[in-house]
Amino acid sequence: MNVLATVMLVVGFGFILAGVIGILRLPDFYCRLHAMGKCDTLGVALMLGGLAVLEGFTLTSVKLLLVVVFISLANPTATHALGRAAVRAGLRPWTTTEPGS
Amino acid sequence: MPNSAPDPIADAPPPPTDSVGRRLLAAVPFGVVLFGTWLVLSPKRDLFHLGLGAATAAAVALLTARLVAQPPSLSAPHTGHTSLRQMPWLRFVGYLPWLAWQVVVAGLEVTYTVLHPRLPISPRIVRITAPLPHTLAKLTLANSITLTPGTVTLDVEGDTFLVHALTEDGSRDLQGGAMSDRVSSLFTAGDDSPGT
Repeated sequence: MNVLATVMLVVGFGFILAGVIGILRLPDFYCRLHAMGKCDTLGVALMLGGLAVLEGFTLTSVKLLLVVVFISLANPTATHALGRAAVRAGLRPWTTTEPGS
Repeated sequence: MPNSAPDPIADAPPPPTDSVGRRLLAAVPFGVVLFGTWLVLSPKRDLFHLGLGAATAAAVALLTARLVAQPPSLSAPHTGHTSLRQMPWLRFVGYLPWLAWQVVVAGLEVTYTVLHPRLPISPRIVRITAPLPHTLAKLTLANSITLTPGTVTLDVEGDTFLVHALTEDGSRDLQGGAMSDRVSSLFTAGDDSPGT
């Protein structure tokens, strides 16, 4: 159990770290949305899941899993809201292809 | 939701209509669910904390009764047959593991792309058209696109989905239409499902 929890925590941390690196390296707002929306959801879910495994089947682990559910609902929603707001505000995406193609 | 109630967070009492009684009745199950959540979250079982939970659950259920009672804009305006109760829940549950796996794949792919020394991205905006029966199906597709590798839904207008793809692969997969077919079959064949 401890091994599983440790693996989940470390892998979750790795995903969050990748998300942060993504935010730093990617060229524009829309690309950074990918790093935010995906790596963070997965990383946080894994870390909280790891903590729940460490805790065993108690009220605390149920609460942790509830937090996972709420985050995995809220994070894509926030990503979508940010992206939509950017489109409505007329932000042009950075692209390597010819415009209009 | 925006088109159903002009001001859903106003705490003014709802306009008096003949369905007030039914609306309050519809708030009861929601209040019970809320109180159950309180019981799970709060380990204290003394009268003060239980009373606090009951009062909070009742208050929230009453304040949101207007929103709970009307089947929200999930229903299709032209067919009018879809409510949450008529949804093919079984098939929806079968959809979830596939979606969870896609989330893992998405995380791995973004991680790989981001850590790659040459940052192999070619971001682009893609429009796809997916005729889906009602708002709930569109919502499911939009969220599924966001959660799967390399793509984020930016906007939905009618049947058109505006999607930002991080890589060329992502946009190609999307235009293949596998996911919209999956979501479409999740909802459109649901007329013969139990619960109608």
